[in-house]
Amino acid sequence: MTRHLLKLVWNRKRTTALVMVEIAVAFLVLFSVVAFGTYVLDNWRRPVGFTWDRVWDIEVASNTTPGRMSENISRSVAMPAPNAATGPAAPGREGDSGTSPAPPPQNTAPAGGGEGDPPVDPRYQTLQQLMLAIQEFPEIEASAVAAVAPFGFGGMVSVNDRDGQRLEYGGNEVTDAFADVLGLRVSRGRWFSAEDRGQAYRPVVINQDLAREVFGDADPVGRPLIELDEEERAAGRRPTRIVGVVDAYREDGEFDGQRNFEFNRKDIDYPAGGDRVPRHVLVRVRPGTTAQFEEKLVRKLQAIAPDWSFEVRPLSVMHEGQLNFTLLPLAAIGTIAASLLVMVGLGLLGVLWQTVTQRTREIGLRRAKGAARRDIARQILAEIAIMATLALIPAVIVALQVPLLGPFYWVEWHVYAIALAISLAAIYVLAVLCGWYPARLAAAVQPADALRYE
Amino acid sequence: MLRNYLKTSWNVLLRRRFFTAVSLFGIALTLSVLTLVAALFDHTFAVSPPETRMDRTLTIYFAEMSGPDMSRNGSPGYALLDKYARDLPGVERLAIASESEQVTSFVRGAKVQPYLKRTDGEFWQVLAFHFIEGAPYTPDDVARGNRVAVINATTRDRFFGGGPAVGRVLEADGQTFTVSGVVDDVPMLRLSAFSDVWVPLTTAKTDSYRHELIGSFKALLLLAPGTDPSAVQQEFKSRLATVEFPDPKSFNKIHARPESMFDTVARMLFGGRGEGDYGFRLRLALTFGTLLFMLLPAINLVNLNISRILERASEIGVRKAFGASSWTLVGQFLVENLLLTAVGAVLGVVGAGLGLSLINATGLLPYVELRTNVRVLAWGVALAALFAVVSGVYPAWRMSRLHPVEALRGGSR
Repeated sequence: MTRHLLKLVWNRKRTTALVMVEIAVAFLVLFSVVAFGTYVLDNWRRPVGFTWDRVWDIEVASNTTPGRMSENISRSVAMPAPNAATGPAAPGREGDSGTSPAPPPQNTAPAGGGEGDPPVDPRYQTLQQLMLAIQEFPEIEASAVAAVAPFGFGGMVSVNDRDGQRLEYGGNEVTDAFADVLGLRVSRGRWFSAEDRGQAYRPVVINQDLAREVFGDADPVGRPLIELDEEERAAGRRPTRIVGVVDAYREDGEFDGQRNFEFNRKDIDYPAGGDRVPRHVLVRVRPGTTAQFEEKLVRKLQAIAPDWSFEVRPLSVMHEGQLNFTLLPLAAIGTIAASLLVMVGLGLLGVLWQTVTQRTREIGLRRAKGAARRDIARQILAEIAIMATLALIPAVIVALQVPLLGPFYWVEWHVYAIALAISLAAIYVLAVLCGWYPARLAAAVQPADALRYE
Repeated sequence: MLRNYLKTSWNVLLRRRFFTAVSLFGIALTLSVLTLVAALFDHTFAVSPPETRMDRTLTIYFAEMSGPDMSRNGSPGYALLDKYARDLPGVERLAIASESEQVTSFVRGAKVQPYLKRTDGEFWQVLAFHFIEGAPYTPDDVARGNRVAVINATTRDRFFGGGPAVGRVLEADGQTFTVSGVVDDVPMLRLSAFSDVWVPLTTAKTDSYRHELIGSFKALLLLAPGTDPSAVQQEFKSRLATVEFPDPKSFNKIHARPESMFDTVARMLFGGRGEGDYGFRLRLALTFGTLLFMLLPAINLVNLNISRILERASEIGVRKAFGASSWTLVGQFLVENLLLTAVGAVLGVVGAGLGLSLINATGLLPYVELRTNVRVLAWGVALAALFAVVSGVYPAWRMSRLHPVEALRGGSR
């Protein structure tokens, strides 16, 4: 039966070829859009790991230039983040400069260069004064300093491939109060505390995704995240030690694709030479604090550091910005794709309709020889299904190249699998829906009419 | 002859309303999306105030400094532009301005976040702002670091509730400025000009920017009419080879390229570095993307057209039997398809207009008033013609190939 139908399709290959091309292209369009949507939804269902209800971000631009710097420092270990925005390179390698003024030589310590520590940035003093002033406000419950603020688009990304294994993780440098301000949940070990000060190790806290990827089910607490190599040990670099694991932390919120994350401890009271000056102060305000407090806060900070710039943004506002950034393009692409699909569906309907009208003689003959109406309808639908299948085989092979070649390496396999299943089902449903009416028309052909037509 | 074709095709369109509706839907959808994109590009790049001389303006938006171990890229610093971009042969004027960035102000207890741009005096000569009142600050103001500002109309309303503002004082980013002039709002997509408040760059909070090679400035180079941009690029490149580095062990090479605004935006979009001609790549990507986007609607239309032709097989048979050549038939069918596409294009432009007002209504881009104009319409017509040809040629060829005898009998398989 199938062979016979295949033969029928083959005999009309000129007419069907273009319809099949259309089905294949429609599938590819649908697959890309569905894969994007699945990726977004797949991220959305994962825990974010922190709360932002009453948290404000104060961006303290200690840049001595007018305007904020937009720059990337790239080194051998830095790679662009999946969410396109790249920040400074690996936090593990300290000494990337960037913000200090030029006349004292840029304190970019070359990798492996250990001759004398660069001087401590004088701006740390100002930062300490600012933090003291912030803590004095009764409206503020808790405050912490961070290199990168949540929902800030991009941040720091480290890429490590020492054992031939590619390991990528986002990072942030934060003070001890950070976990309290954002309500992070520590599931193993502990968060940073004063006991990490002046130790022979560099304390890090990682999230569960990173712990699972590096250590599997083993307990990562007390172990180094990345073993130092000979060169680094010779240069006197301190080894890392994982002191705790937090449940989750996805700094750009629900739609952040970054899985792995690492926190480094920042101690603004005891800065080391060459440390970058962090740019964000996160404060949690008391319930009922209004925007008027913002003016008071900024005026006070401005009075302490007249040559710095301050910008206060509630995290809820930044969160909304992130949502728009993800959802608006998705909505636009989704609308266009849906319209295209409707167009393809109606087009197919028209073409199949036309084909059936043309085959009146053939169908009439079958009816005269005793085929039931149901058989005719089934034949037409089966032919459409075969056409769709023949079109989809090459299309699926093309679509599979995306996960195989991996231009979007951060997208997991199951996202593609789900997208593939949804798009295949949608195309078959579309084909059958479009074939249903023509099939009924065909079934309604009267043998006598059809034969007279000849 | 043409009148006959049009008459025939009009009747054909009305005969099969379903086919016509589906075809028109596809064409209108495709063209409205493409016209919308064209309007966005037009809004960003077209010569329009205040960027009235962008056709002979080169921009330096990016710079990259590299050394043996690392590289650092961002915007050019003031020192780089001040020392090496001045008095290039063929360049009439050089304007240096920072990126516009949001700063915080409080007006009667309410928070306002205007964009602030710090510029030199030449900025007002290179760009042609329309002043509602007052005047720009002068190079002399800039040299002395006077706290003066030019604001746009919206900022005047926000800070002073309308009415004349020249001579009044506003506070932004913790500094106070006296308003010297008020200009029309500038859309955000006019990257070089856009801001809410413009102040002299010497009012920066410290003067360390003066020594930076990589910093946060952009340069606009207004070329003398008829100057070859590549000569300016060559000269600037050879000057950059002489840059003195404060710490040659870390960084010893610097790269920046004066290029057209289109090339600059292309570089921005591709995240490009180095010498590459990113404008060409963007043109290629846009062409390819347009064709790819047209592909599905075009195949759909081809299928519908072929079905329609087969339906008209007997008509074609008659015409062939009476001696119409294949070329005549191809011509006739292309005219019919053009008519169909033209109707679709009108609907598409209407759709694009709706889409544009939707984007304007969201207010995501400050002061951006996207609308269709003659240039955008021209793009729409060109794209529609391209679409008509792409979707019409194959069915027309099929039509002309029909065998007369078989066609007369009522169509082939």
